[in-house]
Amino acid sequence: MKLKYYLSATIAFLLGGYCLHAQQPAFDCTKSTFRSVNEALKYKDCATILSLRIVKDEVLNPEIGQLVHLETVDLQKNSYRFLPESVGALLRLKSMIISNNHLKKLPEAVGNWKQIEFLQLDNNGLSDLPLSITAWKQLKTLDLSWNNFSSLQKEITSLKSIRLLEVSHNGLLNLPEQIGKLSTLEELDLTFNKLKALPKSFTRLDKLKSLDLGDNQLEVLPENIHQMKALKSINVNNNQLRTLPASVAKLKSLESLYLSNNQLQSLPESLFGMQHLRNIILVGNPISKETIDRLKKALPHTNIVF
Amino acid sequence: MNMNKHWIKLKTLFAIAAVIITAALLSAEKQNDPVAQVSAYFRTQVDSLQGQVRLLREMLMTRAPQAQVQEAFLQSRLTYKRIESLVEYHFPETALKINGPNLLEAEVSEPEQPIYPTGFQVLEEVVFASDNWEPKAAIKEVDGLIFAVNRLKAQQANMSLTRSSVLDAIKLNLYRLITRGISGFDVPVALNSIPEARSTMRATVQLLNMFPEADQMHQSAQKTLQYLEQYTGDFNEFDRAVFVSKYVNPLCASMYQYQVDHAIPFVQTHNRAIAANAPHLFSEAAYDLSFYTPTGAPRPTAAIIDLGRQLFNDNRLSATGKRSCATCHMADKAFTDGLALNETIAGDRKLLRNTPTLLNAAYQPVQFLDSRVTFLEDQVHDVIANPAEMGGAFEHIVAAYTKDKVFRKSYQQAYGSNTVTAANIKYALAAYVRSLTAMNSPFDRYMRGDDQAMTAQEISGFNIFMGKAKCGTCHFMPAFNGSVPPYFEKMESEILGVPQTSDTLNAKLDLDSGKYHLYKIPHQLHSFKTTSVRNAAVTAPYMHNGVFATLREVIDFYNRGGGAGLGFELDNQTLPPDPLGLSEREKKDLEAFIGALTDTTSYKQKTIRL
Ligand code: HEC
Ligand code: HEC
Repeated sequence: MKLKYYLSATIAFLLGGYCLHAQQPAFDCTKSTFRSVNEALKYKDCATILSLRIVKDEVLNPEIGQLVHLETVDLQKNSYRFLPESVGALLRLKSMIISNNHLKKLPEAVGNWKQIEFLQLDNNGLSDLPLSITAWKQLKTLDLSWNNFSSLQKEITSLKSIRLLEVSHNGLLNLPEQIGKLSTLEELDLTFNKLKALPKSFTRLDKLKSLDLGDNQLEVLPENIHQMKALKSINVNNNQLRTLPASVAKLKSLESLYLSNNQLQSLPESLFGMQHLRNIILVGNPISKETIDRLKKALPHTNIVF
Repeated sequence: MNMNKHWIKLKTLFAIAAVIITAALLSAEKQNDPVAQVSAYFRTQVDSLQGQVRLLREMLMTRAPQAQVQEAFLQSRLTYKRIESLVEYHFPETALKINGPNLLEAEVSEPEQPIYPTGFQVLEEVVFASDNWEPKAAIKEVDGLIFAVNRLKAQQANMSLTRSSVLDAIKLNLYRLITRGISGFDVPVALNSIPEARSTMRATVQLLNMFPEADQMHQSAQKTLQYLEQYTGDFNEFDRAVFVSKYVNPLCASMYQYQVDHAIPFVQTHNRAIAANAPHLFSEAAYDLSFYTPTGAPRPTAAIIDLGRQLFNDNRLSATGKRSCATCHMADKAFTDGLALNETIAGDRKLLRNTPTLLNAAYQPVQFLDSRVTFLEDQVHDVIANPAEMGGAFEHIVAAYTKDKVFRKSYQQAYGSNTVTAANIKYALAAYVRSLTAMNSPFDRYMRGDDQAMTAQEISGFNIFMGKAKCGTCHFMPAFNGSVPPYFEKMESEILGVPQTSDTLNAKLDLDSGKYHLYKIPHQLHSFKTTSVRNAAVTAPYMHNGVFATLREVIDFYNRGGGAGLGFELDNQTLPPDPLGLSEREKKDLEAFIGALTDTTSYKQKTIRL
């Protein structure tokens, strides 16, 4: 997945940095990775990269707020239960990783991160986000997987530049009505939630390429799913689908359709004309052998798993 | 890069920082700077704790007699109590490693990977084992302790102490003392809680004395310590009611006053339900209920709450149009239905669980017996959409209300808009449920200083609840539910071994898997949220399946040691399996105390007013 790629690139980037020593001749403050807030404070006019990854820190030093030049911060795998308000002073922040901590809430001041592009908050205990997130106009990647969200507030729909949104492994019961406003979204991962339905505006996500809805409780997909023209991959494994909308066949870019473990007894006639489909996974559905045979004939170049 | 090297560098840095700070301290005017004094105090105490845990290890290595090891163990704990306030505040994770409960934990993303407990409470079980004295088993635990204490030492220079944070830490620790400390929560086998309370108070006095111009606060702390110093009785007899209401609450209030008088700002963090500027734990409005409210929820005005009340009683929220929230949560039954289990909307079978009261539901960090949602707004969604309970669909509900002129008028008043949305319907219902607070019981009035509010029998019941019967180790004050003091942001679930029926001779374990079904964490099988005991006198029947018809049945169940006492082999039961040995009088007193937690007036006033 793309996210994993970004992630490992960031890790490599951060770990590649040098542990600094003031005497080292080639020391370049803006390119050095600082390993503690106290260390970085000595260079507060230039410290740009801070990594406290896995240092088992317990309370984030509020003086981090003085490091106003920080652009890249990695706090992964510490034991933070809250962030100090002073993080709001990090106005130049572009990339922030706070994965694997124990955060329950974020301070309102994170709305000051107006330059933020990449934010990982996965594996915390978050149930909501501050309203100030509407200021994250540059944010492209947001990872909220493995938290405690039962719903997402409508404010999340003001993320004007969002490309990748991960909310897998939460307890989502529904999505905000206005979700369709995320018109820049390309990848959406909602696997392992408790969604029973999708809001009307959902099909307005017409830049979406990859849609992961696996392991929810969906009974239908939107009738007008064909409006989501960019879709390449749809994963609806492990849901309660009884039918598929006929218009799915109009998705000209669709390459993969994952439908395993649903209640499908039949497939829409239109599907038999989807020559461009590369993969269709139908394992665990009460579909007759005749239908499968017919599908194989109709789509000889498609990989059909049943 | 090489982590070891990195550590060495870090360590060198810390060492240098420590030297610089020490030098700075020596030159500073110690007398006038409480922060510098606190920092020096911490350093000395950590050193002595380090010495003690090392000694403990030495004794185990040389196979010292068990009694001597026990003595050294208790001594180390007493020393820990002298810095507990600061350790818990600045090193919460290390605090957990040193003195966390002896229970398995797990990350939800790795359900099959139990995180084993460490520290004093694990060690206690070994050191106080009545048979099989195994010094070897203890060494591993002591090594863990030594590691954690070394960490404190290495990290102490990183504590960012201020006068505000020190006072905040001390106050939170006083909350910890009265809710958990004196209940035996963290020294459950040795029950050395009263001497430990003494140690906590000695430290409190010493730390507070570092603050200048604080006569009132110093006197109050000194009096509290004196009360403990003069106490000669045992764990069970300790009068917790007097200790809390006459000593600790006034002490907290005097700390509050000191901060106000000296313009020392109250800490502002978003990690707790009791605001830092509450005078004491039982003050009116000590809770900041917005802590349990999702951001974005509108301020709960009277108009919104009123709209919520209308919705609560409106059958149109259900698929059949025949059921409202009030069908199951009846106002005249303290918002329960009086049944063990209600029925599905189709009437074809029983629901899985007993209908809980909604009084004080607002004081819970999570909702439902399996803790499946955080906010009442989401809880409302869950119930309405649940095919067994109401089976409603928000699309239809919104459409129906949009057509209803009378409804739209109330809606307009509440939200200043005519467009009915699902989100606003949920906000209104949640705001109504949140308004059903009942925190003005005789117990609350007693804790706020009205000595006459509770009878002698009720007070005795409180002391049993917090002491001998150990109820207070799970039903934490002041909400008496599982939200963990002093932050009240986390909710505990417990495994009691609740039976299917009240038949004690042929008892069978109830099969509801509880919280387990959320993440499939093995040690959470049959665990349920610790519900509140407030108003329990008026919310029979009890437990998730409504199995017990009376409070006496509940108390008898606990008195037996829960499921273990009924013969269930539940190796993950978190309720201590030992019988409590409560006498008939003690049981009656407990019942009387639970009665003193009833408040049916506060919410009635509100309901009628609207
Ligand atoms: C058919 C009966 C029924 C109806 C109708 C009903 N409830 Fe409940 N309610 C229950 C039961 C049973 C539970 C416990 C379920 C569980 O814990 O799994 C519950 C739990 C709750 C809780 C959680 C309380 C706690 O302490 O965890 C709240 C809050 C609540 N209901 C509010 C409502 C509201 C608001 C409505 C109307 C929208 C409603 N209920 C309708 C039966 C009902
Ligand atoms: C190990 C933790 C623990 C201890 C100790 C404990 N409780 Fe509980 N209590 C719980 C849990 C968890 C529940 C909810 C159980 C369920 O619904 O199955 C509960 C439920 C109750 C209820 C029922 C509330 C309701 O409305 O259904 C009452 C009453 C109660 N406890 C009283 C007591 C008393 C009295 C004591 C001391 C004798 C005590 N508890 C000790 C954890 C504990």
